Amino acid sequence: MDAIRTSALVKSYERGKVLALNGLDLAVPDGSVFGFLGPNGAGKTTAIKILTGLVEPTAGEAWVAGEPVDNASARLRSQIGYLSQEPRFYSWMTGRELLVFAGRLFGTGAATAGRRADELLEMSGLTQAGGRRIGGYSGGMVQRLGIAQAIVSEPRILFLDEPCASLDPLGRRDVLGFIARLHGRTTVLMSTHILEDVERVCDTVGIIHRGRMAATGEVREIARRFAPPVLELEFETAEAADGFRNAWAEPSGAVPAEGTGALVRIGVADLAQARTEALRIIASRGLALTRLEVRSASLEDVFVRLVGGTP
Amino acid sequence: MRCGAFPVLLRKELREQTRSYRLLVLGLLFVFFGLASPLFAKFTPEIVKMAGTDQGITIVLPQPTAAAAVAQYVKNLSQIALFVLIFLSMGAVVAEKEHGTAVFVLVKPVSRLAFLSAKLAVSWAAVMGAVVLSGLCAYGYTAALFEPPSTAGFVLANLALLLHLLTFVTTTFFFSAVARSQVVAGVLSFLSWILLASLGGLGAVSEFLPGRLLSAAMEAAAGVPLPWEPFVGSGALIVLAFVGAVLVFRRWEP
Repeated sequence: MDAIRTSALVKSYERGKVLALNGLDLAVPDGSVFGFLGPNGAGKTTAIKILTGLVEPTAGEAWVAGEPVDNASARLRSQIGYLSQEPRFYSWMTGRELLVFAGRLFGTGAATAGRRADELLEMSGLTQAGGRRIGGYSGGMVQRLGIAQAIVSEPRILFLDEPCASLDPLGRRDVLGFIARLHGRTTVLMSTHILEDVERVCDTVGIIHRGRMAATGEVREIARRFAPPVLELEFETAEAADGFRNAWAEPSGAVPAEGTGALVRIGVADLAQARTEALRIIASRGLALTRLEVRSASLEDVFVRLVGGTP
Repeated sequence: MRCGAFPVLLRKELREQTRSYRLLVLGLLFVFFGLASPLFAKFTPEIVKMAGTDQGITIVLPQPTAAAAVAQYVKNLSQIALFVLIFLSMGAVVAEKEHGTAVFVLVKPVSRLAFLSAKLAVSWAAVMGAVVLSGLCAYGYTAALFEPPSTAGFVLANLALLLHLLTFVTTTFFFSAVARSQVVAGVLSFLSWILLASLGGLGAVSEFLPGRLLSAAMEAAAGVPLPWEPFVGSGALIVLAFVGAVLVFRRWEP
């Protein structure tokens, strides 16, 4: 069953002049940690705002936890947690007060909300700072508090919009570790443009480009489907690598060899044939090779291939 | 135990008003005008007379009365205090939209109606409390400096004054829900105040405008019954402003 599903979702602004979403079809399996990838301006944040009921779509439909998405549906919002891209909270509240307030908005009683707030403060490493005003928190602390408030109600579905954007490496490691622990218990939709984060914690991924899904599926499968394996060759000298590049261009033509200096990288459709051909060139020209490796395509390879560096 | 979001939002609004010292400022301001208005009424003629004597001019002013003290009180609260009140209320909704805190609340199981109602309810309660405090001070000082004004008349005067203030608090609230910045909300609120005040010369229509409540308040202190027209007109304006705020805010997208 899909925890999140959209059908031909469209969102336009300025009377149709700006198209943020252009027929987005999205399906997020229940219990998965879904990496929602895309360049800046691809429509990730708009899609999340629609799915959380904050923004109405211009056309199309969306369902979250089986509920049709509607900004008036309190039932929908009682099942989700959300961390916005730049979380902002009441600076006059303390961290603990904010978590109690958030919990009570879900209908929890004062005592239970207090216990849950303490639990979350400990989980997010903010126990010491829990009694301090949020106005004095660092960016990383606000982000951790943001994640804590997003899970205050133990939501079925958690939306995280760029959760690691303002974190230092340690904070990022903690947050990613935390997200990974939710796997199987909570469906997480995490938008990001940091491919490494997706590879670390997500089991499924969707790449959005110009308001449409360019690809979706399991991380390994999508890499296999959209980017061929890479043959990586390292020569003793840059001249030898140049010699190989020139020779490779002649027989193969359609797949140009990339890389700089002594390194050559070739994306190949037929691995066995390419390897034979490469070894033939090396032997016939007497090029000094130090390393030959077959690498699986990375998410970055898929991303570059699908998005092509344009928003 | 489970409870609804509205009381939680109410408590949050109240706490915010307290921590930001808005309640304190409002209370002190209204107490000041409650105490100062009878004083102004009592001593202004004497000050003017003394100034005239220094210039060799004899100025004859009518003997100040309790009615003059009440009139001074109504004027102060409906002008300077209202100005401050609009200033304090113009960010009620738009500040949360601007700062992003509205998103944090609205993505929880909270209706937009509850979000707005809690804000307006606390604003109204603050104004009511401030008027009660101010009224008590004004009544006591007027009784001490002049003679005790008619209690019933003074209560009715305060009722009319209160409705006048609540009308403008609600229209400011409307502009706060509609506008995209606090500056725009403030400018629109002050413009609407000026516009409504300038419509006072429109014959029969002016009887229904909130401005009529002020003259009615002064008359009530002198024992004249309150007219129903400005109560109906102001009530309608309040309902329109709140319903408008809810309708527009329901469509607001962060």
